[in-house]
Amino acid sequence: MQDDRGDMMDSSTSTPDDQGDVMGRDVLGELIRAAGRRPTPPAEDYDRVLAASRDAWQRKIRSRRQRRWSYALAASVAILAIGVTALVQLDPLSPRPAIASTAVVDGSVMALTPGAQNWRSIDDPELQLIAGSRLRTQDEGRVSLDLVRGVSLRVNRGTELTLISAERIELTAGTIYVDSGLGVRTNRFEIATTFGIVRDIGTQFEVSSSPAELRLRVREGLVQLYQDGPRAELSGVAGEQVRIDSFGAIDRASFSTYDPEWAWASALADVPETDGQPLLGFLSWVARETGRALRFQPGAEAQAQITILHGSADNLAPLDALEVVLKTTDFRYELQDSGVLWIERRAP
Amino acid sequence: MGVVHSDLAIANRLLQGDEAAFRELFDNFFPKLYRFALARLNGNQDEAREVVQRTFCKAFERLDTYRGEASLYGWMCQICRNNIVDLGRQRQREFQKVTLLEEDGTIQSILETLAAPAAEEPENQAWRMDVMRLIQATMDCLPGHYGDVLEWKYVDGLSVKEIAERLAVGPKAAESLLTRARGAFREAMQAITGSADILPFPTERQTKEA
Repeated sequence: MQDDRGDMMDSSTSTPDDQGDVMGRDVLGELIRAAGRRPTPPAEDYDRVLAASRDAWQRKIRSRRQRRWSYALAASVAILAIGVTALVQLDPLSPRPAIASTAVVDGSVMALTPGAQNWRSIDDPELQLIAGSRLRTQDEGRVSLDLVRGVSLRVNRGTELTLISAERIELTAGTIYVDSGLGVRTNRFEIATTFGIVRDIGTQFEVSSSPAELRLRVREGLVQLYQDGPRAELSGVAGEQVRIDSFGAIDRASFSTYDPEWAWASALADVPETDGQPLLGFLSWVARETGRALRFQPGAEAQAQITILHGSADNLAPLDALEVVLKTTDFRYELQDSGVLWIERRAP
Repeated sequence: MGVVHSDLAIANRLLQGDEAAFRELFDNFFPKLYRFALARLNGNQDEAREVVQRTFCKAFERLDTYRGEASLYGWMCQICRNNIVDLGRQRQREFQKVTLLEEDGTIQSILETLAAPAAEEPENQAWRMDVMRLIQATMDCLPGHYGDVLEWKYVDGLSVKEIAERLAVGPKAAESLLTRARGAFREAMQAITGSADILPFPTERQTKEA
């Protein structure tokens, strides 16, 4: 049954359902409607309190920074005083190795490295993404990073995170996609969130965190969430979406590996080098990036293995790259509803 | 290690000097805390503004003591309550102790009050206003955008599609959020009133004891 705004109403039952509907009445809705709009404070009060609050906040930030510098000074004096011969590097400018590099940048993405005062654009050629670097994508910004251990980390719009190390990030808020690669790795990749720690057991998944909920979507492999409390471990498998809200309620649902909502991550995929490479490798990459199963017409796979590509398809999303690349070959493709990427020879 | 509230991430961002986190916190909490203070200061707007300003300032001073045991809003409400008491001491007067409906009420009496005829005694009108304030205060206590989503749906009459557009999410996500918001509102109302069920029809009206 729909209300006059075309929305589906909660189903009417003869007994109270858990949404407070009884005998067809939306009791909760009546309560809220009767209460009316919550009053808003006067604009001048907003401005005055905002100014005073900002001053207080900035004083707090400044005092914390001064304290940190004082502790560092005190520590270095103490060490010198006892005559330790090994030097401890407290100079914030001493170079530390980068743990990630940018593969694809789309729009505005900012980074704050440890010890720096100001956020910088990730396009800054002098920027090194070292352990402890924070990243923030603006409303129109996205980025794909290659971590030194072979993990591809893609960061969607409106996301903030900290690169703790090449195997661990802290997701403050927003959405990331992880592709930990096809090869065997000995170290797990971990994402720390306020809902617990997400660990992968290979290979492609998305984590979205907000104050209200944590959402896991798994494309390939298995992902585990470790939390304190009665539910120590929660798993998500390929083709599944798991949501946990701030009340601890869990919702599981199927989520297709080729659902259009994966498109943002695919758009940040870094097209591999194609010039001089066999077509089969490129097709395998497209299938992986689009969450589809690669299938061939009989005999076509062997042909694809020996077909060598020329030229590049840089800066194209996987399906656009597929379109462009196959035009230079004798092959055509079809995206089937069952999630198959079908490859066959063109008719002569 | 006990359960840590997700607001700890916001507190950490604030302590790192994150301007976006500051604006997000202020814009979300200022109207709610203002309403919270106003209700306890007999509607005095000047005093409400002063108390809320002190609340924000004190919260930022002490932000590194926030451990996430409760929501950030709940933590700031406690600071606000203390500031109201301090203001009373400074002004050398006792704010009239108001027994707020959330401290003494039932869902049944709320529904009965809403069902009351238009022509009422003044004391019943005051009770009706108090009921409405309770409902609004409950919405203020809900996490995230829950209160806003419920207001858009039931007060402004927005459709799920329009709500989705406002939040820049898909319609399914908006519908899911609305369902969770209703559930959270219902639980909060039950917790406040101690009622195990929401009754469909008001029974005999009960008179509030003064």
